[in-house]
Amino acid sequence: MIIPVRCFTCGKVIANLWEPYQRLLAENVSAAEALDQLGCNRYCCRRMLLTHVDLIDNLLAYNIHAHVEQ
Amino acid sequence: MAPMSANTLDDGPDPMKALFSNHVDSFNHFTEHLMPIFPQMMEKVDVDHESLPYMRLSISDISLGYPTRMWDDDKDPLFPSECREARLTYGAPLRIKVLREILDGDSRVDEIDFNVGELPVMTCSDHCHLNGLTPDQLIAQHEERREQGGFFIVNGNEKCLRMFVVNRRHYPFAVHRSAFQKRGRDYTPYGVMIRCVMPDETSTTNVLHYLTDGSSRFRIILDKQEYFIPLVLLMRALVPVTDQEIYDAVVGPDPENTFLSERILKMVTNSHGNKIFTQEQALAFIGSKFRVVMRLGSRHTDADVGRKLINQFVLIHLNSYRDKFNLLVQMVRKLYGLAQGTVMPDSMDTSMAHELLMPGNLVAMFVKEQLTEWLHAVSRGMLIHSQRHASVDMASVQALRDVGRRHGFDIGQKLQFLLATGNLVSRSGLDLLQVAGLSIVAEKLNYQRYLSHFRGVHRGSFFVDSKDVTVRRLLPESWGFLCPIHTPDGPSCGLACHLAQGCIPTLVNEDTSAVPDVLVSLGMVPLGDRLILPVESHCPVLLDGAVIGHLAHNLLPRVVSTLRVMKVRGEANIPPHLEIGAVDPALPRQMAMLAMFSGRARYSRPVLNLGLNAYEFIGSFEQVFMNIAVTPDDIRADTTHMEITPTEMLDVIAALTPYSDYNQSPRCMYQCVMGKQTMATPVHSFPYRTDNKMYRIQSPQLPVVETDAQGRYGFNEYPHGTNAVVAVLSYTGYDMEDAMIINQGAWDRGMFAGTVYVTKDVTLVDKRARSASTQRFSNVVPDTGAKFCSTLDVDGLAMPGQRLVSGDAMACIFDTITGEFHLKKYKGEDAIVEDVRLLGHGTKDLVTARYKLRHIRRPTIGDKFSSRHGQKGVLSVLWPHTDFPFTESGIVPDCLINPHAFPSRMTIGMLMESIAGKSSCLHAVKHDATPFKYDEVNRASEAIGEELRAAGYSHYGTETMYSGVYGTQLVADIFIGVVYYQRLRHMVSDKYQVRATGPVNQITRQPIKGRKAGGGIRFGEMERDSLISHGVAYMLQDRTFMSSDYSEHRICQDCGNVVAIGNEAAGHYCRLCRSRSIRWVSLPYILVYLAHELAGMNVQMSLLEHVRE
Repeated sequence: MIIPVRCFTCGKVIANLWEPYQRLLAENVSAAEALDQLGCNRYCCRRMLLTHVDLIDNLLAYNIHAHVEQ
Repeated sequence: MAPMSANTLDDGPDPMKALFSNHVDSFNHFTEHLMPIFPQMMEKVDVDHESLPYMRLSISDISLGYPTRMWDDDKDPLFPSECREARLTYGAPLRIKVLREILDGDSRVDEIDFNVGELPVMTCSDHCHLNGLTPDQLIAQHEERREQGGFFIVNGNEKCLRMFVVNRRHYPFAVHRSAFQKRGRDYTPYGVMIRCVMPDETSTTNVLHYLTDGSSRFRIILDKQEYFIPLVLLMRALVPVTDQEIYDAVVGPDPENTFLSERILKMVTNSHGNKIFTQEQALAFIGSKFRVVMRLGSRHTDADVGRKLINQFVLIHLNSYRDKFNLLVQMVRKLYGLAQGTVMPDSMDTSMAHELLMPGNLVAMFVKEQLTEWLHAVSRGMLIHSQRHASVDMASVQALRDVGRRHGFDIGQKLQFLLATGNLVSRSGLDLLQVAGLSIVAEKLNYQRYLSHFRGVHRGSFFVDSKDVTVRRLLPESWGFLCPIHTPDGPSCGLACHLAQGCIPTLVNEDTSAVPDVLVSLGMVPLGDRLILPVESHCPVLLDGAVIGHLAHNLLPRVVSTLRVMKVRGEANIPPHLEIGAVDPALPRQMAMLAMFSGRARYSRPVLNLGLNAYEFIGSFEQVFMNIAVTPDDIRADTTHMEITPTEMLDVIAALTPYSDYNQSPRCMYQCVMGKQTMATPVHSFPYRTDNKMYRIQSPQLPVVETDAQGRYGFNEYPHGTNAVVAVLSYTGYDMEDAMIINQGAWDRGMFAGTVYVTKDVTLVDKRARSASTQRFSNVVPDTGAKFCSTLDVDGLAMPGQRLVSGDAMACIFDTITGEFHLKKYKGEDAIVEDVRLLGHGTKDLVTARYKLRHIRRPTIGDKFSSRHGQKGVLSVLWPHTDFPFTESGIVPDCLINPHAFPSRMTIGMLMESIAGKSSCLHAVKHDATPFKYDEVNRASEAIGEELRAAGYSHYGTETMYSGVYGTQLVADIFIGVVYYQRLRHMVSDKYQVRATGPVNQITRQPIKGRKAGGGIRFGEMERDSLISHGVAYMLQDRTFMSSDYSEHRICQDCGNVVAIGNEAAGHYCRLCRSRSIRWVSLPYILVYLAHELAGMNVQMSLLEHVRE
């Protein structure tokens, strides 16, 4: 779905880092370096960004409310 | 070692698509290749009655259309999602052209079209509208982006035809079965069995039995009934032969084998008794015996009937009678070898003797039989019609059309029934061992489970109840074809298997016309159109069950290797899937033979041919005689082939387990079962799904430690777990006996949160008289325009997003005749309305409101979780974050498990995953945990340990931790890492059962059973014994009496009767002894019931010891 607000384990807010993280990856920064730059030092927070699946893009393909907005 | 040849697999199909191709392609094969040849393969049906002209019915053409909205005037295409949501069947019209020849008087031929129903169509097959759609187009049709189909939709349910194991076709197997002795007097356990399949997949099994008097009989099965034909009679019916020719063909070069020659001689001599010497005589004799059961008309002579019997039931894969005779001789030689002890019985439990029953082939067999039955039904209908309508000219076209409509049946409906119930209703039994359980629901519980339905291969329900366990055994012959790991434990262990990743069953009968010539050029002595004559130190050559020649023993190895080269290189038109099984003459007690197979439905898989450095497809029969190395280290001087990867032997699901080669094997089996029970991401198209129950996890993650199968088969699109920080220590005592402690903080932040979607229908009262229903959904009072129920919307239904608790109104129904409103109440767990659909079941009246409800399921105590290593546990307590142990860097684990989970279970793979996961997170790279990547020299633990050390952690994966309660350092360093955890679908809220008082059984007045009905939990005999042994009498009385069927009754104190107490103005009295001494007693109601039952049988039951005489 969309990324959880906080790291499950330590409670650090990480949801705000998702988009910067994606931007860094798009700029061909390695995942390790991107996480370091964003200040995710503990392995618990790194795993949140590293393994998150942004399913929302897949799910929005079936948005039943899409036609209402048009 | 990369293969150099062009014959590589890299350009092969999408690996995900290949997983479903067994189903989709086999159905396509049915519609494209099998159905079109039915007309020429089907027998004609005669209408033979003195009152009617003699007619002959046949089918000249069959055509299958495309799914269409039949109720629509525009006849728009019908799509699968619509069928799913509206509970319809996804089927296409099946049309046949019936040809009628009138043979009497002015002979004439008519051809008439008939529509024989809507045949269910497999999704994504050539006859499905989804075939060939792009991902975007699939999404527009409300399907998954990478929908692969393979299932049928019957009444809105997704049904999948199971694959079954059946005996390999076209090879005579020597079998020793004690059940053969039950066939009759003199029958022995020896037999030679062969399963024969026609080009249209009609199959039958023939057995040649050995009898104690040295003779043998040939078994055929006709309409589930067994018939036995004496061998010599059958031989004479097949070809015109003399006694000498029979003797020479069978005995051949072994006249000194007196066991064989004496018996054949005796059998041939004995056959003279019935005075049948010519082929015509033999055919006529057989025909005269089978005329009735064959359902043939009087115009067929006895010899004709005999010929038809041989065509349809004797070695039916061969057309020519001479080929049948030659194969029969081969079977006889094997049978007498078996009886003599020079040939070992073949095992029918190995994959060598097996092939698959593919869904398309099953449909083909079924539809062909139904078409024949349709013709028979029309044939019978002709007579009935002529009797009812005496004036009608039965030779007219109109009469045939009427009879076809009235007496023909809906073939589509028959297949729908097969798919919906899994029950096979068939006249012939289709050569199958079972008639139930042929179809299963393709549950979308999660992607793993869904996928498994299409990879599953079942051995047959016949063996589930069998005491014999040899069929369940894992045999080396199945290597690479069936997964040794992915099978459930319990009743279907070893019977419900799954295809290995690399196994691709063959779909077509390949063209083998070039093979005989090539073999002749390699030294085979061809048989041509002569009768078989065995040659000294030569072995027979069988090509798809036809004897084509003899080959000298010493030539065999060279012929096989040359053929293989041609097969792999595609030279001389040798087909690429040809199976070349050389039963070596050097093998003791085997019948030497070169058996080649090119047919459909065989197990087949690619391996690397080392000599040619190219991929070669091999089958399960030939694999046994080949030397295949698993890794380059295994290569010996005589090794010819090598596995592509060592993980080829695993099934898709088993291949997902990381480091599975480090685990004790049963743990990997448990993971295959539990992976399929995981709450995950079943689909993406949630708004268009109305499954009865669907589980979903809120924030799934990709595993940080994964195998190569994870990405290859699309599992990353349907993630199914969470990477949890797991510490292995004994803490608080709540982690005993496989319980796990979850951090309340992690829980608060949404870890493992999930939802369950449930679909509930509210239907207007009268289901049968749908159109005539006087009721409709409405919430508006006609006079005032006000709402009848304030919580519902004006249309009488709940609003999406509305919360429902037990007792809330769910729908409001208005009766247009009485003008009354009726509220349907919601009952069950708290829910949120996700959406509401109105359905008309293919009509315009909307009679059903389908509610999709959402239940929120955060983890609660008692919910089940597991890692990917068969380590399951239940949540025992949500422990406060503040009281959790923590590491130096401030990490507080998400869950704690007890170290005792490891020593006895030996799931080292889980420990590996833990440290690999930690290292992966630190270095932000995924670990490839594909099994067999590491070995004793190149150790995984050292590689991972080194990475951990580089990141500043202990290379053992341990960290210093501090007590969350005392703040003191824990004495031991704690093993902590990242493990992928799955939440399983077994949840306490679906299972808890409590009751104080509640519904009781009407007859016994005891509490009913069943959680759904609000029943109680049985306090059984053993529980009773326990209370007795504790001596707690009051407790015993409370449980078994007071809380059960306590009741009070009047009893006659004189005769002890409870069943006949009368009541009059003066008071109660006993109707039996007229006594007025009546008192109240408390009794279990079941006892009073017994007294009444006995009284009904004129037996009096007295409940007093001191009954007056």
